[in-house]
Amino acid sequence: MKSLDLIRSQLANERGIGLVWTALSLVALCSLVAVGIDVGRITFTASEVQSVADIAALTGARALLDGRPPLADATTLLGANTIDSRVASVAATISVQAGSVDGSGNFTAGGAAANAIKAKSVATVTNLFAGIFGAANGTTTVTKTATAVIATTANGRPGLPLALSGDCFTNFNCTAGNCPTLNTQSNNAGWTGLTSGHSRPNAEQYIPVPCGGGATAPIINVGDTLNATNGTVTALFQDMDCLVCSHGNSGPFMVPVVSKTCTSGFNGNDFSVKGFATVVVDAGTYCAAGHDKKILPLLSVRHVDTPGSIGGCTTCGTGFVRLIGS
Amino acid sequence: MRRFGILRSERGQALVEVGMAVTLLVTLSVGIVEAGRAFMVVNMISNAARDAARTAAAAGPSNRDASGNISAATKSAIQSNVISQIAAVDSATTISSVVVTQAVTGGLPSVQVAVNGSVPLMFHLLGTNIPVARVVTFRDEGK
Repeated sequence: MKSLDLIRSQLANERGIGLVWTALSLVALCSLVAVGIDVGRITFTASEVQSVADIAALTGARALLDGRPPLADATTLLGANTIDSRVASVAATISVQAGSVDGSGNFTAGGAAANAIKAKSVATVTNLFAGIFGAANGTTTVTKTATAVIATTANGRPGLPLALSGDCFTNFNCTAGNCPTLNTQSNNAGWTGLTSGHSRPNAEQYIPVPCGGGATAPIINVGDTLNATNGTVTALFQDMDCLVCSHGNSGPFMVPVVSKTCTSGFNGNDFSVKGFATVVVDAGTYCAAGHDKKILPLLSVRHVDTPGSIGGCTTCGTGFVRLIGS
Repeated sequence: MRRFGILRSERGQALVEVGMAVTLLVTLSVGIVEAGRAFMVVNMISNAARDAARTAAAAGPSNRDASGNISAATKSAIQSNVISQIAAVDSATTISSVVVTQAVTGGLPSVQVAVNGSVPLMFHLLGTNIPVARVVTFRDEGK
């Protein structure tokens, strides 16, 4: 009897042990699943936050070209996107930083002539389960950054025999007083025969018909050398008067931007092409009665063209904006 | 005989417990596989929508008319690309529409890509499919 009681007692002690183990295992398994779901959800949301940072950077960089406020434009676009099914501009805190990117893709904050925007997007993800299992709090902060740069086009066929001095610009869309004006005192724009010196005939051949020669300009590449001089040639201004005021062709024209300080003239020297800008002639001013036709006011504008190399030209206005990483 | 009745009444208890545990584990495992796969496909649709929107936003002059409107051929190519991207990941997923729209958002030219689809579930624990709708808006670079 004693031995049977012992067996009975031992069996009774182990009753439901499998159930207990199962319960414990399930709790552990459910915990792992919960962590997996939370991590997966954070990862998914993080991709949305990265997308928002990308959009903010690209929109901000484009705003630089348009002379608009980068943060305001980025915030506007994010109002049409979502993070975690919430409006992105509300779900995330966005900040943008203007700066410049060199030819190697290195971003430097600040500077007078920004050609890039670095955007940061910070969003808080509410975890579904972490709080239940004792996490310090039920949220996770996700931070993502993106940098977008204005990529000048790598080559182009100029529409006018003009070269712009990039150092004279602080903005792609020039404002009053900041636009190049081609005249005898100008340091910011000069006549050029493109690949054939700066003589009047060589330059004049590239002015569009019926006022100039109408020759097809050669393709100019970034890094090519151009020879340019200041705008003292009367015949060329007469051609421009004919083109703009008599035939209503004020552009836009793609022109090369060269490396030259703004404190000196072109003076018939050689300059290296660093990018391209697209300009229109300020016809209203140029064609106004009494305006000196030797003073050619230009309006610099941006233009979308084939994307080329990144950075390196902070004052070019022709090309795309593109992401270069975080 | 009565002495062994106690033992006989507990016969198969472990089997019942294992049966319950296996049922729960299988259900849980199926749920994990189902949710994980659906999650992956939804994520893929989100990425495809984002790529499509960026492609449309960066469409160059040769893909637009003189006013900067994206050509019908380019829109069609973008739509086909989204569908083929998803099909490459999960051929069972249905993409019902890919709409590329140029608009003005808060004064800014924008391109919006809306992708709608349906992700079928394998085990039907949570229904037969999950509807997915993703909308991504980029600044239109061509305007």
